Amino acid sequence: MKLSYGQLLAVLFLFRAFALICSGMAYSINQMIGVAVSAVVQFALIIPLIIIIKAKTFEYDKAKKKGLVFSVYFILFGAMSFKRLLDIMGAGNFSNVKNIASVILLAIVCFYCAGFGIHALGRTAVAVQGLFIFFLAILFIGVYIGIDFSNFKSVSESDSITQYAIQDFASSGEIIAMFVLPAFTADRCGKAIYFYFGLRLIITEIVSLVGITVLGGVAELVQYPFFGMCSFSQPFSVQRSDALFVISYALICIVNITADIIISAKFAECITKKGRLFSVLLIIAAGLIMGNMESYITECIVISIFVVLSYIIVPSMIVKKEKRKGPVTDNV
Amino acid sequence: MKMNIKIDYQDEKLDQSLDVKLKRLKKITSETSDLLINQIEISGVKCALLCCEGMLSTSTITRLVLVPLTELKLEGSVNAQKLFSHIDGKMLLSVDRPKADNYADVIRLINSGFAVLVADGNTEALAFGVQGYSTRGVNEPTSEQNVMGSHDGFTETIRTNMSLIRRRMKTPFLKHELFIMGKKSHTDLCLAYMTDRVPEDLINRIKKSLKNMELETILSSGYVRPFLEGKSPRIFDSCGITQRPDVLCSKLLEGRVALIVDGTPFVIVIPRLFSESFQTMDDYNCKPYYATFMRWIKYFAFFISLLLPGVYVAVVIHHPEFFNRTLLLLLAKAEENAALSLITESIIVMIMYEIIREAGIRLPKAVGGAVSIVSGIIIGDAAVNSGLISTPMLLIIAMSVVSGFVLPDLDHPVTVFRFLFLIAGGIFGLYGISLLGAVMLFNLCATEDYGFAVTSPVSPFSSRLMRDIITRVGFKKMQHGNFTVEKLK
Repeated sequence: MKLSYGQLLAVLFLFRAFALICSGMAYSINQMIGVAVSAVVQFALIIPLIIIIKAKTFEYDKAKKKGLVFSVYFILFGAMSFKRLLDIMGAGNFSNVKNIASVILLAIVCFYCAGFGIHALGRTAVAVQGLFIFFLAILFIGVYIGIDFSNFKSVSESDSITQYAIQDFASSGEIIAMFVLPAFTADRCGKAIYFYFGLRLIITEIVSLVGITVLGGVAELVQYPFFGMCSFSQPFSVQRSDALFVISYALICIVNITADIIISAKFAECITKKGRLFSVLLIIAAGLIMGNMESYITECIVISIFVVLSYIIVPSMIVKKEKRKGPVTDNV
Repeated sequence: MKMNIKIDYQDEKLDQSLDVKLKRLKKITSETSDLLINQIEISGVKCALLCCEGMLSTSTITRLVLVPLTELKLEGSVNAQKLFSHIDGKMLLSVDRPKADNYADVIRLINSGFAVLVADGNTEALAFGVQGYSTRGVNEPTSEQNVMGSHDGFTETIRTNMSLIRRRMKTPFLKHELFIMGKKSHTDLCLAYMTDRVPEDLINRIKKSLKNMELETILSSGYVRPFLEGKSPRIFDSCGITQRPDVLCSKLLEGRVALIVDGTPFVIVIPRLFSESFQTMDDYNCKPYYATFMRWIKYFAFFISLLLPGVYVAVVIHHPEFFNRTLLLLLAKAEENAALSLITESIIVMIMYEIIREAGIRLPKAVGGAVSIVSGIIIGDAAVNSGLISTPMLLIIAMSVVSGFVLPDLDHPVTVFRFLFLIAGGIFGLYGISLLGAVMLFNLCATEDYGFAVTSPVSPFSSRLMRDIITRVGFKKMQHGNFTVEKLK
């Protein structure tokens, strides 16, 4: 069973949505340009892949031991997501979630969800994507009263466009997913990637724009500007509705880590049958070890290295393109 | 007292001698009291008419079988073969006339209400369909009530159920495939499908699943369903159930397969979609705008019934900033005199409700109603007045359970998960609700049988098929396209 075009788009979009929510970049004009530059650079990096996808078909198990590179990457990527979640918990955005029990619970949930496989992930991603867009709409409705275009004047441009572009690139770990996921997708991967970049650009720019008009100079002071914007949202006469966004955030986080576990386990299964358990344990361990490690330059270098490695490994995953039949499962 | 008699007769052919045959039948049935053996002589041939007491109509058997047979006089030398050939070829004693040549079939036919004729010197038996056991008439279904649709529902008799479908679908493409399952119960099962609509792969795989079933008895459709659903445990059903022939016909038209089980008015439909839980026959009998409005009310009711108690407890305990000032003060005032913690209070109310509901269902109808009134009004009122339970909590639980009544198909998962969401929300707040929600969502998205995901057409997404999910389009639009389940793959 393979992902459909819409499901691939949803999985990629949720990777980005998670990065968008967890981003520590203050909303500003430079940030908006920097994010766009980063997206263009990533798109340029991915163009050769899109050309290959159009002509060839991938099978993940053809990578054999080389596939372990992807397994390692998605463990690191999952650990990074996990670390971001811990950071956000620590910053007090989840007022009631601070103990180790919550972390263990999250690990159990991700482990359980990963057991359903990639097709359940794809379907869930579509639903969560819809939910995220719905919450985003509520957020915008809630902050509507607070929108003040004069806030553009109060925005301080502390970082340059280049710095913002590098920061955004560092949080774009999903670029490697674009190399791997075509092996799990039925068709139209290229179209999904095009749409992903379009959607990504639109959503991030809209969020930044609304963020600037709502937060203004405050964006510089808050640790997580997205959560800062959520706390300004007051739909349906509530005092503060940021708790509502915890639901959407936690769901996106679970889908992200589950996707990392599934992909990493698929490649690890070439070596060990217990790939899923192996992946979840490593992700949690790596996430905890990362602790306070915070260097977007390092992340940027790591992603760049893996992009190069992906271009080396992907040719070994190519199989002769043949016309695919419809998805068939055999669970009965 | 030792009563463990095991007689192997499954493949045993009938004997020539009538005495041996009857002796063997008596031995196999342990001389059960309801086996009636009437020995008679027809045209000089020693015969026996076998039947099961209470399973056939006395007037029918007398008029259609006994009188013609006793009056039968054949000329010349008559033996058993000639007699049977005459009865089978020249006399139409009943419309359903199966033959049997082994003891297993003879016993099955007798126990199904047939009158079976056996003769001395013949290894064959003739059966006459004169069933006349008492059955429940066609009544309005107890579940799936509707206002403007038909008011007849399936009954416990498989033949009646088959006729209820046939009455609505006179096309020759509707196929009923009868077969027997259950080593001890020999229950009649019937697969019904439209040969021009059903995917061949689906029907073959269903038959394969049924072949793997080795049940001794099949007393209701619930016995069969696990064999038709996937191996892994799932929260939501992937096989539907209906009590309404009109609903079933609409499903058959979409290329689905129905499995009718004798002895139960609940027919299994395969495959089932989650979105069907929100559709009723009435939706197609009223204006599209109203049906669309009601459908969205049902979606809303689903979330209220599932999440409201959990979200309420989570918000009050962990995220009180969510409420506006007036509401917060109102809730604080109501809760300040409550003797128990919010989570304990809500669990108690919900458990009490489930007990009352179960009592209402199990007790005789006359008493059941009284129990509901006594429990609902008197106990509820007393609990609030005594300060044991706060009014908002009672209101929240009441709203949640009433919303659940809107979706009877989802009653079981909603009942259990309402508790789980309550506990998760009470301990971990909205974070806990999100985690449990993810578990439920992944489980739902992973539920699929025979290649059909229950979450279709939402995920996998099909914009064309969403016309009956987001809205209910009119029949003028619906008549084009001929939707079949194959399009969901």
